[in-house]
Amino acid sequence: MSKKYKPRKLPFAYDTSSLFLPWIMMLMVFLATLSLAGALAVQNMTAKWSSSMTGSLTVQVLPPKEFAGADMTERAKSATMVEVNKAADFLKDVDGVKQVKIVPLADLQELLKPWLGEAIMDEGFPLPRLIDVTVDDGDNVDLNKLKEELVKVAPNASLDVHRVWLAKLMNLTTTLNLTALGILGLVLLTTSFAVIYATVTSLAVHRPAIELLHLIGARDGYIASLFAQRTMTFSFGGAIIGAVISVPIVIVTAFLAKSLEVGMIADGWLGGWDWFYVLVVPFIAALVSGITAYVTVAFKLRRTL
Amino acid sequence: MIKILPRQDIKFVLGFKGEEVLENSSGMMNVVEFKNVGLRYGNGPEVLEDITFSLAPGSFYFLTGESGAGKSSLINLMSLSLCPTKGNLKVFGTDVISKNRKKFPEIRRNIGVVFQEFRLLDHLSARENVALPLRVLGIKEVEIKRHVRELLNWVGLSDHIDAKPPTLAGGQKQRVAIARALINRPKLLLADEPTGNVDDKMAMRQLRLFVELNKIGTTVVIATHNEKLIERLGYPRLHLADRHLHLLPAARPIMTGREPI
Ligand SMILES: Nc1ncnc2c1ncn2[C@@H]1O[C@H](COP(=O)(O)OP(=O)(O)O)[C@@H](O)[C@H]1O
Ligand SMILES: [Mg+2]
Repeated sequence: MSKKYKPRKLPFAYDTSSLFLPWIMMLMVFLATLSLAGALAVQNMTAKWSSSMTGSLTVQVLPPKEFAGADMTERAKSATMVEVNKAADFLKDVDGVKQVKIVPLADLQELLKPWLGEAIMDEGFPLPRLIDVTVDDGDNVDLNKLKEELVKVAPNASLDVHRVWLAKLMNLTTTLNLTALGILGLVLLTTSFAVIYATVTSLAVHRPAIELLHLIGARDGYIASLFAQRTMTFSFGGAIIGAVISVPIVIVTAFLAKSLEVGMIADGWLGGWDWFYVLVVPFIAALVSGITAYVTVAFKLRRTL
Repeated sequence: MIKILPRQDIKFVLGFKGEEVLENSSGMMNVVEFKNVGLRYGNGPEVLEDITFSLAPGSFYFLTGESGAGKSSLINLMSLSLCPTKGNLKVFGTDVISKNRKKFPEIRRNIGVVFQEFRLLDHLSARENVALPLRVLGIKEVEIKRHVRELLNWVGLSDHIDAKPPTLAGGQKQRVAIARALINRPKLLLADEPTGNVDDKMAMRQLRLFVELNKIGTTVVIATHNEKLIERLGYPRLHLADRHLHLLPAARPIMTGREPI
């Protein structure tokens, strides 16, 4: 025996029908890794922001326009208070609002004294009035709608604009998140179709070998697992290359996000488990393609003898 | 150069024990049972019509008939490659109908088939081709290796263990196909014109393999139209003519398989 004996377990000859599979896998894993990393990052940021948004809101009521700029007369003060009370009464009845508290003038003056000096202690200083609103959960209250309705009741009242902006941003991130997940879903679907197509083609090419395997007593499951093994090997090569290209991109974006030093973005990028999910993509992809091949073969063989 | 049937006995090569022979030849159930079987391909005419016969365990038959008479079709029915389109066929007690396909692998594992066109996989070596039925059974690699080597030695192919079928001569391919059919120690051996590609002397040598196998209890059916061999061995014949099967008795007393060729 000069030649070393190597057992060759796959009874299917090499064929080119599945050659496109590694390429598809490479592209799909590339897309999946990036969109998954994006979805996870966006989700993390959203979670961070929304936790910073729970708790309280602040409503500011300015003195009515006709008194603006002038020193606060008694008339101006009481006109402001009328609006403050209207706004407070309206807010109390809003779903998700737990508590409404008009900030006393004295507290307000105390709060602003360090910035504006003794002048504000003066009775006539034109101060806006504030209402503290405690809400159940930032997510459950539609701030945009609340803002619109509040203005109808009290034209000079306004909701903390920063929070409204945050709420809008969160709408955006939710959309981004869903888009990323949508891409992930499409990638999975495309991959499955590609695998099904490759498997069906391959089944036709290897029909004589399959018939022979049946005739020597092979069960459908045996043949299906041979195909699954073959498909998984094909797919895994491409999947790994896809990961090798995409993971560095994710690492670079994570590094850039950190260097931004904007707390909301830098801290909310990718955590430990997220890295695990990102790195596991090529393995999942190969596994999914193997399972798809298995099911396809098992399904097709049911109609043979 | 050709060394078919060296000293070793096939019983030894296949690892048979004495009991198995007894059990096989005294079994009650017929190996194959045809009852009014008809067969047609697609919408074509019936190529087999009203076939009724059965094979007892341990029997040996030649299957004869002109080219196109339906010998291969009949063998394909017995090897569960086809279902009858009419009548009733039982192999090892199981009805051959597509509804029973889940039971087919178990039955097929007891059947060895030497196909007319061999059906070897061209990209696998002789040893891998022969090993295939054992792989399907999930036998350990070490055992497969030993077993395959012994059987290939026994059919005289020890020099061509790693050769791929396209590089082998017709007679050599045939012997690879025979080894693959025997490696599972089948209870039923079906051979479709296994002597078609070789001269009479070679054919006789190959037939002796089947005679040996039959002696240890295997039921054997060999399709051939080599009248010389049939007369020489003298087993009964199943003869196909006009789509029907006729049973012809043994031509002369059955030889032992030990006579000089
Ligand atoms: N796959 C097939 N499709 C259609 N007709 C077939 C097929 N196989 C065999 N036949 C027909 O069935 C008849 C019997 O063929 P076969 O069983 O191969 O005969 P034999 O082996 O005795 O030469 C022939 O007329 C042949 O044309
Ligand atoms: Mg034929």
